[in-house]
Amino acid sequence: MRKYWLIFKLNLVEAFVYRATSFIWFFCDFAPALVLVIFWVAVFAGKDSIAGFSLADMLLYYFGVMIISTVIIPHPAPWLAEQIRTGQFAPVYLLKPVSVFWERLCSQISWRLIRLLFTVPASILVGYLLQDYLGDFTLPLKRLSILILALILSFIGQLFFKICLGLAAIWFGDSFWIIAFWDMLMALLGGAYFPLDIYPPLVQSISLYLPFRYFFYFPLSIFLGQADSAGLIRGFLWLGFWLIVAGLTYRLVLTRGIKNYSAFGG
Amino acid sequence: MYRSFVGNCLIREMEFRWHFILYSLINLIWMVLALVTFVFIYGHVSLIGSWTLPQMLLLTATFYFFDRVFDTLFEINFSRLNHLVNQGDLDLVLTKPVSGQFLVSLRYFSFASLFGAISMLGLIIWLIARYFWPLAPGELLIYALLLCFGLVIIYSWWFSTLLLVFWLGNIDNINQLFRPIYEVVRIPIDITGPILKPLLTFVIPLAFVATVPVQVFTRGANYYMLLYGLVAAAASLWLSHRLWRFALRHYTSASS
Repeated sequence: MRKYWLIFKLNLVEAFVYRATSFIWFFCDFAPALVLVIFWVAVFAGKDSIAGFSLADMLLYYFGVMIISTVIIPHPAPWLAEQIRTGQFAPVYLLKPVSVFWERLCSQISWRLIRLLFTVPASILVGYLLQDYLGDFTLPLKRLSILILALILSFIGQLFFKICLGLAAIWFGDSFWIIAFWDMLMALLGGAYFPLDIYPPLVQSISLYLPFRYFFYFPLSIFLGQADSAGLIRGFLWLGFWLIVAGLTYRLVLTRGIKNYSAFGG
Repeated sequence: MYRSFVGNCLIREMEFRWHFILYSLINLIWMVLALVTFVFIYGHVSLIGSWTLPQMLLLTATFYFFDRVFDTLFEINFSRLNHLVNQGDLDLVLTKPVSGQFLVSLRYFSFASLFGAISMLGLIIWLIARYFWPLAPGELLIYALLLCFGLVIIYSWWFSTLLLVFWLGNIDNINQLFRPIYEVVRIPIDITGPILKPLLTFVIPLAFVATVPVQVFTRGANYYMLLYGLVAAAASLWLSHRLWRFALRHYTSASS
């Protein structure tokens, strides 16, 4: 594990040196939810409740989206696809005793730690600005512990899947389209774009059998205090299931991908 | 020269045909789902601000049309500027007898978003014919002109943010810095409140991307806004060029 500790430290230094890059990614994850806050304030004008949400519920929801988006959505795929396209995949992963998953995990955690430098003060500021709406909101230690567990499992599950999306470049030459497809499903069926409750029952039912809901909406519902005991057990079982599926998919894609991989250049 | 650039990019794009086809398809699905989401929201409310569902759909379709045109023309070029500056390849641009700003902004043409733009144009035409017809004389022309002004304004502001690489060094996602600010144009600017509305209409005139053009059909042509759009576009472009010239003075190259 020592080599991964070193990779983590190297990435941490890199993330600190390139903190402007880190800030921009944070800004990209954080700001869209702010736009949706403005949007929903207008939608609620003269309305007490929409799809079971009050304005305070909705603002709290997007406050959660802002924080969770910046913390648990890993982005290993574009970099991996680039490495494959430029022929750098072999020197980095195939000629060295380094696991793709562990190397990407160390890198993503270190970049996210630096991102906390922006997430924490921005969340405090937004929380302060929305204090009239978030007045009753609390996050007791027990719920916080459950939330952290859900966030960790969600992060690892997404990382497995997203590495597979990056590795798809081995077959397709460029996997940008498949990354865009995943992000689209995550935004819509994960609840990052709009709460799942505003969609028709059919869409909500479909989301129950796909991973996106458990990777995003489930931790969010814990954050908001909406998940009861039965919901928590069901959510963690599904999250565990998708984590296993993600891990197995990763192994399959990596094994097949290495057999298919070819690089050009000297 | 620009025709040669486009032809060259078409050949390059055809080397990744499947990527082109699949990306275009995903692009289309994303836009359709975003539009359908508004149908769901309007199942719960009849108005958002003063915007009805057809007006909101037209605004969203206009935004996506604009966004895809912008991606087609500029996005791919913007993503390369950081590399040009930090690898010293900007030398090759600056030593050519062509405007450097023109070359770094328009050298590459992305066909991947073109299909999305054409689809949205079709939807805009259908929405206008279905919900806003008949139009007063000149309204279509004013709508198109306002969109052109919006394109120049967004290009200028976005391009200006890229110039930070001349001072801050290697920031490989600098082309994304303006995107979160630009995100706000996907909602009607007149619902953003008493501070943001004038700010986004007159100071950073992002309202010219979708809100102001669509208001031509919902509130009638406003010739003062047309004139202001022309002035704002010209001023923004001029300012971006001055900033480009200023930034070049801080370019030190990176090659041996």
